[in-house]
Amino acid sequence: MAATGARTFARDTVGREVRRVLRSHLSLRWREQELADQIPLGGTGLGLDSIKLLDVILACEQSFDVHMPVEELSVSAPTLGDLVALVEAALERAAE
Amino acid sequence: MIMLAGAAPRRKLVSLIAAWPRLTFTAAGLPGVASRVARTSPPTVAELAALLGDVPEPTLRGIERAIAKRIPQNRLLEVIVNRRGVGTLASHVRAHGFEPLRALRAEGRSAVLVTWHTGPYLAVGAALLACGLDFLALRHRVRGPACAGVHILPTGGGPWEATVALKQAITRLAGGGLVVMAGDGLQGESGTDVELLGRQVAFQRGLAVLAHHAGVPVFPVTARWQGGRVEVRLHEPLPVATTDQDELLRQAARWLDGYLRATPEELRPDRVRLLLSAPLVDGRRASA
Repeated sequence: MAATGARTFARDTVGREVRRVLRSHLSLRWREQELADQIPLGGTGLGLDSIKLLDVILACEQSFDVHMPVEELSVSAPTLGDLVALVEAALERAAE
Repeated sequence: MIMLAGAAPRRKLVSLIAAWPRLTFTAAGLPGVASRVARTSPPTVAELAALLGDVPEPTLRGIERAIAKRIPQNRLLEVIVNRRGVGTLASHVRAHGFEPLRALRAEGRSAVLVTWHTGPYLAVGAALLACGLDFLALRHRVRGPACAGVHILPTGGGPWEATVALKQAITRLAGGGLVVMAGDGLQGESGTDVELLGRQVAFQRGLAVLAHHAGVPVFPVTARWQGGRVEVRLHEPLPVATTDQDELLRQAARWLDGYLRATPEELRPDRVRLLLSAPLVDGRRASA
């Protein structure tokens, strides 16, 4: 369990919550079960541009009440799994 | 005569500019020198007429000459900034109107400074350093050595790089700081349609997103040549509420339109040609 602010998240629910944020915030046509960890957030995956990617990051920060240092993610084309890992790392840091 | 081709002459040139910036920039603008320093040709009178509209031909010829003089000056300024860092020019620029920004920072508040691809815009950072103001800048590509008080983040390496830069800029603004970025970025993904010099172009939304999320004022800042010196001026903040992102970009475009019509000699040739390739506002394809 990682506690942060007023909310507590079990590790296995983080991925589900990130997907919920992604779908509700961006009105994606994708069904939740289609959103695999390996799918890229931009380009040929979900096709998010830099501004929409930023919106997702900020929405995740708000939803999980954490600060996400995105510069620590050293990839050029992050996947949904990378985003979930980023949230998990932020939750762990917040719980310390 | 100094040419930009070749590593050794370039090193000599960089040393020359660093040692005597005013002399070098003044010399670069002299007739006969310009074409040896930079090979970009100025916009023609016909191109300027197509862009600026109802302007008398003698005036257009004067603008053409002024732009031709500024091409090598801008090129040399880019060379020195990209090789020695923007701090090299801190003692060479004249900063005007920065008192409100100093006061704002003294209170720990934040602001976005919006620059434009006009004139010697890379000198804006030098003016901020001359005023003792640290800043974070977003640039398409990061060039030149690191400089105390300046943090430059690249945005041109793809969507994620731009996202990371914008997120860091929001964090910087939330903690109290200055962020400098171009407001007239035309290349990239999605943009907001705006009108500029009678053309329909799409401004990238980064500026509006930043101002909206951080809720801070947006100050236009310009740089222009005054002989061999650069004058950097901070203007009144844009008047729009930052909650309306599209309106902020339209306001930015109107501001830039007014500035360029008042100082057309600061137009850069590449921007002139980019604008001429854009559709006219009334929907007709540009013919120039």
